[in-house]
Amino acid sequence: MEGQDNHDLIDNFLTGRLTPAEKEAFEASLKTNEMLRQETETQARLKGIVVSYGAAQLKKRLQKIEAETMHKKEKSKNPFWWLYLIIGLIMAGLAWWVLQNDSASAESPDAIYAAYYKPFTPIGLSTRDNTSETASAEILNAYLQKDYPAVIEGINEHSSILEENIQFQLIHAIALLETKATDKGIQELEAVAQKKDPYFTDDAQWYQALALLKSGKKTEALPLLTSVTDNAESEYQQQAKKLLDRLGGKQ
Amino acid sequence: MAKIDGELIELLKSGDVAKQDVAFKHLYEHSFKAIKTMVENNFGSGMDASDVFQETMVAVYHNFNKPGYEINCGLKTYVYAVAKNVWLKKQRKKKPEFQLKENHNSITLTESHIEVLEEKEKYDSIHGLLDSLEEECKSILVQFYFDGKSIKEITNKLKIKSESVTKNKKSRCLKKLKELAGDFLNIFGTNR
Repeated sequence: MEGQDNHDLIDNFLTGRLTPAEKEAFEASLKTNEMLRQETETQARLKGIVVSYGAAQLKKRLQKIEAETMHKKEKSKNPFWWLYLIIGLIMAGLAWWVLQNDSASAESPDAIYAAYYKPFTPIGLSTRDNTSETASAEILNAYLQKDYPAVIEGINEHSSILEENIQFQLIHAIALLETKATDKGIQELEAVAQKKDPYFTDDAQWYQALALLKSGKKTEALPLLTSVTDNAESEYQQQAKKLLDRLGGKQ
Repeated sequence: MAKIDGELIELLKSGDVAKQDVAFKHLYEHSFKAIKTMVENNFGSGMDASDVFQETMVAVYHNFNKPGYEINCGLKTYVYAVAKNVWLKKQRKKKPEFQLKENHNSITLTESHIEVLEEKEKYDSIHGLLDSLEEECKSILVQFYFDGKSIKEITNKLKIKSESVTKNKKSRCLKKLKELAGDFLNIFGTNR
């Protein structure tokens, strides 16, 4: 019976159920009664295990309540959340579209050049005889073989050839562009364009515009592209229009 | 203290889970935001805020269910002050000189108000032992030691024949827990 009494007394002490006077008396006993002290320590640890368990269970319950309450609150805060979601998606779509268009005009010059550039195909020129030993034939052959350094070398050796046919001047300019001598190529193309040849001015303008774009000189390229688009006879008219649209530089 | 505060405290002490949940929901709706701001302004995340709030609720619940426990301020102020202690304690474990920054007029409480969390942490690794006990045993022990219920209240709630039967059951359950805990009991120091 005394054991049970002690057990209850310890419980009441541990759970704060003793009156101040009882608590004082109990604490005094703890100092003198070793068995009581040990028993109290053991019971305090057991109580600790139960409290820890109860707290963990309550915490789990609270996590559920939090999920329900906060989720509900978010929803009730905004009853039209679904409408905002749709608007958000539309806005994101528009932003993506604008970005796509913007990024086209902000594309790298090299990317634009690569997309539109195709080597000039000479017309009305023929090697006549591939075995011909003439300088013109050799240069033309080299050009068709895409041996651009040989083209430049051949023309340098036989500069009079440039006077023979304006297309050689174009071929020379293209070879310069192909061998990264872009500035020289641009000068050569400008020279061709200035001759106002009814057949090759648009070729010269088109390639000059592409070369200028590649060099990052968009402002100088735009009037040339516009000139090509105005030329209904030009084979580059449609491409020039597309490129102008892409650059956002309709003139 | 406002009337609503008194009502909420009564709900927490009611011993009825559904009523307690009503009080917890109210506290989430009215106190969580301020505590989240306090935690986030003091190097904590949203997750930390949730954890602090849950532990605050555990401490608040346990305190109100202690015999004779009373507060002399508004419930919201009290909850905030407990949360402050919880966050301070957590941060000071990492950085002992940690000081709280706050733009909120609040009261300061002693650490005794979060004692239950100390106990929770101390016995976290072995509290699962209780799961080995029968449901009734577990319920009696938790109600008595954690929920602060008296033998009479437990007897009524669990519809046990008499208080003396409840008392005997509690003693037997504690004995069983002692057997289960075995050597663990010597590893942990006393908390009194």
